[in-house]
Amino acid sequence: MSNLVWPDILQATWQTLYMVGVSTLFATALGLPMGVFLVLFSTRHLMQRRVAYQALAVIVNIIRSVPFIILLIAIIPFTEWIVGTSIGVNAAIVPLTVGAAPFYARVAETALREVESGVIEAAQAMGASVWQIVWRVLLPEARPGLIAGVTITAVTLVGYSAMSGVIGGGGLGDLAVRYGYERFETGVMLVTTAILVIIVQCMQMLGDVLVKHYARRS
Amino acid sequence: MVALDHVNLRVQAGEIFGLIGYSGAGKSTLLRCVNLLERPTQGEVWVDGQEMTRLNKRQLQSARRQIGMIFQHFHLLASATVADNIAFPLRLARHRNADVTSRVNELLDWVGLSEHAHKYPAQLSGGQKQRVAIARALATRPKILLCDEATSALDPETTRQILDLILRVNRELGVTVVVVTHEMSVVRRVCDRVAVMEAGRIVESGSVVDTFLFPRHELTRRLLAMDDESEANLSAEVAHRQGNRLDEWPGRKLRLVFRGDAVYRPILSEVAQMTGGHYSILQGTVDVIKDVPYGRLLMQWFGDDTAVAQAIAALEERGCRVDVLDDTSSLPVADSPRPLDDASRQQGSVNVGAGAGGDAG
Repeated sequence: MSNLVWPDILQATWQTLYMVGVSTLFATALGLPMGVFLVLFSTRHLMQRRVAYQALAVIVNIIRSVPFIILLIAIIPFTEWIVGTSIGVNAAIVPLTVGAAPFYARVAETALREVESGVIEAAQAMGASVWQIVWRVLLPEARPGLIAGVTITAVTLVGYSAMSGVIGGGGLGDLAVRYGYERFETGVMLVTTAILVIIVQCMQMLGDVLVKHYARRS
Repeated sequence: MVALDHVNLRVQAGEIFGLIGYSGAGKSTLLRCVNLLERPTQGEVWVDGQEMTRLNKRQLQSARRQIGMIFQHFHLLASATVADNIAFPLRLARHRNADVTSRVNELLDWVGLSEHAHKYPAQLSGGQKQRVAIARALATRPKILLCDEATSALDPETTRQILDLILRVNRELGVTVVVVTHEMSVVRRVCDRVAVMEAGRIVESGSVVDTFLFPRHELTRRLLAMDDESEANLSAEVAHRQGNRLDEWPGRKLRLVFRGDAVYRPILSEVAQMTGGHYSILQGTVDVIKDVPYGRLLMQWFGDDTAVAQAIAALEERGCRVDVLDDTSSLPVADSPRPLDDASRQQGSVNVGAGAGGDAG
């Protein structure tokens, strides 16, 4: 393993953290409202809308069932439209976000459904509007589950980001494939994989600490 | 499925009204019609001069702030402290922060939880959680408090404390209270009037004292029989056994029920002296339900049939209700309903009109 590789590894680490960090942020920002609407639109909930629920659910299911590598290529025109280019780290963030948002939507939906219906009813009895219930009851009460969902999404995105090499997104996964798989440089592959493991571990620990902090209350 | 059918209920301002029945009778559904958590498919709901079903979303939200509600399982926000739970309805109504703080402190003090202000619900006992729920329900100074099986998840001692608090809410704050319960003891402790429900209908209603002393419907008698402290258990069996020893003397077993002033007057001795008769008390109670004294006695009145009939007439004249217990029958059941006091006031503050609930189940 030549010394020349280390700057590459450092750069790739930064690229991975950047891609995963930004796409987790966007995926959460998009997925959370989707999750909220999936809950509100569902049967016997605050804004029961059969058609809207089905439409949203179908979109979420389609995106989730397309293999990420295909999604990555299929939405290149969209990516170009958003960031102005179809290659590079920033271009990778678009498919990562699109792929992870429906995933987080489902995780958030599950967490929000856990909120006791009686608590929602008590808020209604106190004259709360639907949006007051979302902001003051659903989201705070589901916070531990929502945070755990962010952790799961971020870890999943670390895996997805390995595929971003296809569109020149770089990152540790890409490095591991190029050096380890294509050039048989086992050393680089091991180091990059080890760094990925450490990143995932750190994210999981951080997530667990946050969940524990909020769950202590319930 | 029809959850409520031809229900007509009028709750007077300032009273504590009880809805009692077994589970599935529709009492909770009826209660939830008051603040429209359950919207009746037909009929009207009048609260404080407002027809609730005709209000739009905004109006309904503000009408609901005038109606507090507490539940069997408390339904507090697990993620908020005691103080924040109590502040919740005030924040919903967009009160100023300074007002919220002072109101919350006032309520914490009133329910005796000041030192628990910064705890989370998970750290409280069931009774403490219900106190928080009551404080929360009272935060916006409602005129009405709805209690949906509020003590059903609590032990007897805690139940007593929560019922005392509900009495205070009624007496000190003048809040009209509607209580849903399946326990007669709850009705006896706090309610002024009661409606007995079965299969979506009200089968009997009236003042609690009258319902206790003169139950008309079979279901009411069954509910009374479950309540140990009620004297519906004035058992005919016991009376019969004790009565047998008296068989050597001529006489009849009588069941006497009286209430109000009659409790304090020397009725028995007066009648005995006047008719020259004698009596022996076999079993009985003299007690008070919600400030109304009452008595009920199972007794042997000695003498031939003419003397006994004379005594009965004299007792009835003095406001007692008298039933002659047939020696062969085993149940001292009053058949003809004759409430002693028939004051039917018409001024009302909650009025749930004939409503057929939708698919509440």
